[in-house]
Amino acid sequence: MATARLEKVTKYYPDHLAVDHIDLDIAEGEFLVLVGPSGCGKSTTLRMIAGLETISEGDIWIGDRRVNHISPRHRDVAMVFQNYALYPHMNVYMNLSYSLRLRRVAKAEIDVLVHKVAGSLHLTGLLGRKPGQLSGGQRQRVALGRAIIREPKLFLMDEPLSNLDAKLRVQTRSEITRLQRQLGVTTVYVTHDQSEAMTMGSRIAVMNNGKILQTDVPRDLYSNPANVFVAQFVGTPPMNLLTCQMDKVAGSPRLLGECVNISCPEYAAERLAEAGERFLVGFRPEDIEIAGDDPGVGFGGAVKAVEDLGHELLITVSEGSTQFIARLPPTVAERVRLGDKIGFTVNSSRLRFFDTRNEQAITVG
Amino acid sequence: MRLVDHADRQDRWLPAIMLGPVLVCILLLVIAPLAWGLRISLTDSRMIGLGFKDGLTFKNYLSVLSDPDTWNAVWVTIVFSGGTVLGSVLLGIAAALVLDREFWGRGIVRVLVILPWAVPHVVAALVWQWMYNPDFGVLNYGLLLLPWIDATPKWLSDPDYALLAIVLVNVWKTYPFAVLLLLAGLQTISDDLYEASAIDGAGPVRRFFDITLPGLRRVLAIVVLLLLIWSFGNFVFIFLMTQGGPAGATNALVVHIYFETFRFFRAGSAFAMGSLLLVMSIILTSIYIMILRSQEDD
Repeated sequence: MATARLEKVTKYYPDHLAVDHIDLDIAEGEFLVLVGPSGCGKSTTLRMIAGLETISEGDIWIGDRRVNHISPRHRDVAMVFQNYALYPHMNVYMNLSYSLRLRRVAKAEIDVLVHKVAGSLHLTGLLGRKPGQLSGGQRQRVALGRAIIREPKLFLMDEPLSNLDAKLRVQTRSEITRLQRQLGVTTVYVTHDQSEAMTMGSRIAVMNNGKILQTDVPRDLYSNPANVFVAQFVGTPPMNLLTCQMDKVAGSPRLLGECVNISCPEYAAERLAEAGERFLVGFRPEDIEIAGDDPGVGFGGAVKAVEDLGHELLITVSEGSTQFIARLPPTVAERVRLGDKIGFTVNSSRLRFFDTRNEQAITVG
Repeated sequence: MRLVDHADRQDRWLPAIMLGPVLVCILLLVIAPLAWGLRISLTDSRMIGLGFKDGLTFKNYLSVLSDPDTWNAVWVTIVFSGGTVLGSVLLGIAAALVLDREFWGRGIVRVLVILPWAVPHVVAALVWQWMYNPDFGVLNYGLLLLPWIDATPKWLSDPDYALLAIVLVNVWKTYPFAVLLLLAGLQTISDDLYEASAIDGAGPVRRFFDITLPGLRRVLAIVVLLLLIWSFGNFVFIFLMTQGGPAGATNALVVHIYFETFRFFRAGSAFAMGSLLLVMSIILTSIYIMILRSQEDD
């Protein structure tokens, strides 16, 4: 168990910049998820922590040791690979015990550890099998077992669930979080799947184009995204972002735009006036509800699509070139028809604002 | 109905029509000569094609098996084949490992490594004969440049060195084949495995033995068997460079058989030895096919 720290870590390739001066502090026992679209540099970052990629600039610390030039085998980390990377010619027992055998742990001790790990991962009956004779889920568990058997300082996981089918993925997700809590080993977990990140991470770092855009606990990432990218990357469906401008109507400030006609919260007016003529107003699909009578006030437009998921309705509303999605309880299904004009009210404390020029959040109030 | 009949008839004859020519070729070019050879091995024929006297006899086999020259030839064949396989495989693995890495000029090095394979046997034999020449050869010239060497062997005319010299030539000629297959084998080993073992704590040497070698074992089995089978039947280098000499030091079975037939005209005993060689080759080939089958099963 250890902390890990990345300081201005950068990775250049001859033709592009993969990781761009990122800073990251990972606390002892923390489950940190690096999430971002493919090609954002998250795997490269993980591989630099593992020692599988050289670091172009910056420093990586594991515990109080700077590991920039330390080979992977001396970093005391364990890694779970996307395609598991089990040794195909070794059976499960040999796969699990490989790292221990390299460390010349006594045979009897290895045997005890292998059975303990195999027991906790339901692999006991499979110890004699080769990876080729295992299902995807079983291979995945062997890969996990190989990582946890020697209690490393850091667990590194590179999209370990992406080769599993959807149902197994959800099961294994909770399995991994359970194991991590139980063992208390500091973990860095890479995924492109934001729902995986949200459910597993104790803290999440969102990456794009080689930069970390925001590092936060899942709840804050969801409700207070630091910029447009995070707002749209986290959450399904993503946060609605509508362009609008502020105007005085009958002496009080209003936000106006396609789909938007709401009174501007007082605490925000001053700050928004500074931010420029046009900006983005954002809200989560579940933060709005159908307004009673006047469809012209609030957020509104014509119903363009209705997706009935049984437990909820996703309604796409549009006006002109703008559209947003509302998440509504199934009880309103009767009242929503394609083509109808419909209006929504929102609790103004749920509104978020973003600058259209630099796409950063505008802090108000 | 007529259409179906027509199709049926076609189905029945199609395999025969397709396979017929091949079967005739195999019969005429392989089975018939083999049978003819076996027949000769059971007679005391001294020349091919002069007809048989006295009926059938096993005495060729008895005399061949009790002749020390035969056992010398078997021994030379084993050393020649074993040496070739060992040398080619070791050199092949080393070269394949180097060529698997990316470095400047890899394309050229790759061509240079593969080149010996493309050189005709006769050309190779003549070139190496010159290089081995004790007085003018570049090999001894090179050896004498080394400070700790002051006497050089007469490679092809010294019984202690002749077989080694021939094995070296054959290794030089065959190792590119091993390189090609092993290089293909190396590229099937996932980089993840090397990375996983590096993180698990394996150094470069352990990674070679734990990941590379097991990953190559199937390809290696095929390389070893093919080289063995080919070396068993390799006639050209020995015939061109030493004619089985000096003093029988390089007298492999195929060369021995050739001389028995065409120099001493003892066709009967030559064909008896040929049958022995055939049996050895069949055993090796069966192993080869068994390995191929077991790979299909996996």
